[in-house]
Amino acid sequence: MSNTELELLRQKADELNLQILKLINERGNVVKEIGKAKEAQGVNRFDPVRERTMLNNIIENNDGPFENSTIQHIFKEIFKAGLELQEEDHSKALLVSRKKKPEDTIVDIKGEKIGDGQQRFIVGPCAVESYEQVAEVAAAAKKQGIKILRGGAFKPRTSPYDFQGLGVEGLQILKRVADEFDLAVISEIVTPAHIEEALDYIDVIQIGARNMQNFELLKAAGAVKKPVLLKRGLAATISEFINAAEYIMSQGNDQIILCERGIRTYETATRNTLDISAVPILKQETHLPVFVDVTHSTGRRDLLLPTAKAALAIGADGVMAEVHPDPSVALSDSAQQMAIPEFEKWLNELKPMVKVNA
Amino acid sequence: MNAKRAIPVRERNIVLIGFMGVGKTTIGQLVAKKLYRDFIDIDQQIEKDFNMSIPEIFEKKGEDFFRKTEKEYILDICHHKRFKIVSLGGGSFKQEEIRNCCLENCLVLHLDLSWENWKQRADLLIESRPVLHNRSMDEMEQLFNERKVIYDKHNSKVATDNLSPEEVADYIVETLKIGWDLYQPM
Repeated sequence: MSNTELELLRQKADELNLQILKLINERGNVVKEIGKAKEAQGVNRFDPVRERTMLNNIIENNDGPFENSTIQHIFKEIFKAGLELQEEDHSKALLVSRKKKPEDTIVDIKGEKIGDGQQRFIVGPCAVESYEQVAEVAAAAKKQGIKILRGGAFKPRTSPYDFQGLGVEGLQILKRVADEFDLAVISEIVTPAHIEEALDYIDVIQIGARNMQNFELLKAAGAVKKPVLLKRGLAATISEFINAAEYIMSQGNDQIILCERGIRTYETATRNTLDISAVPILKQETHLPVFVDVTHSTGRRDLLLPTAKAALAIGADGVMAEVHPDPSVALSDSAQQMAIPEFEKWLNELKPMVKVNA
Repeated sequence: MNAKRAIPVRERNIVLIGFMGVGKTTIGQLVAKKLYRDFIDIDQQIEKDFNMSIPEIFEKKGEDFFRKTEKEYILDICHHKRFKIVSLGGGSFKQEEIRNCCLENCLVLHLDLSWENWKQRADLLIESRPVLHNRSMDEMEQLFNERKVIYDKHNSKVATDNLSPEEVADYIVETLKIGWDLYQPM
């Protein structure tokens, strides 16, 4: 075969490519029309007999050189692509995704509009130990203009012999402090059975890292009208995290705050590894506000300031940190909670870089 | 915000509709077996639960009662069951609520048979079908044609003329597999 002949054949192939392209797109347009016509007539769009008849017809007309199975495979792909054209835009997209909803979701916690562009703080003791202890922290937070207080009443701990939290009594203490100081309170709930009861006491339901894939709990939290702060599981990928949020939203509750709290890696210098880049990824992929928990991710008091700065700089909607009147006597996380003067110093250093809405 | 997602195609119940005697029950049982799924025959279910035959229910409780019961059974399956192969009584699709609910939540297959083919089976059927009692052939044909319009609302029409139940069931199973693959590749 001479070079000219080869060149001619190549030209021919190029032309055929364009013809096929044109035909495929023409088919796409026809399929779209069919989709519209079906919708207008209220006819169901799934008609497997029709798909099969089309395929059979194609195979019957196949004169080769391609095998029937090859032809069938190619045309199935063309059919699938056509069916996708018929689908409502983004009907398969997750409810939490930006694709589904481009605008930021704003979570309203007693008038605090999380996700409105302003960066906020949530602070409080790791565990609720007594009224006095929570009230002391609440007063310090209030003085700094912080509106949301955290405190654990149900504590899922690594060891069953560690302090498990005060339970409902803890929630009652939080409620009392919230009322007295006019703050909103957030606390972790660990079982679907407690969700209803918790509604009376707290303003935000926290679902902790250990429970991020407790699907029944997620569904129960999704079924109530109460904001949820969902922490990333310590071994969860971002995609798993997003799907966990989808569980909540699929039940009807869109008031969700995501919280990056560090993941488990081989690194032992910090308690967990703060995956700071998860923040912009979550902000891009979802429309939900994103917080960073600097206490649990680092497990080190000396890193609370730089990591909080990083969180604010990277565009988190807020930072969560633990504060205790006297960390040395705290029943949990004593190594990383801040005492009140430390907390005040920490916050003062962060304040200049906090984004505030004009 | 409560965006209800459509039931995935693979999970949808397969609902068989068509004129009485077309073979919904026989074919449905075969399809269920071939797909390893459960089969539900609405009429048989009602007969069992009421411990009466359909003609008896018609006679003792009236058609209205039967239609109401039938609707409750079918809507319950549409809303609460998945993966079932369901055979509907020949007249149930007359009820708009049943029709809409099935089309929205299930895959509805119309088992189609020509009048000529049906006529040949007529003698075998009449006794157990109260709606056919005391009807002339012409009247039956009229009913056949009236129902045909109702069955026109479906996902797919499956031609059954001159095919054995086994052949129709195989056809349905193969077709469903193609459909599932196209609509929801796994």
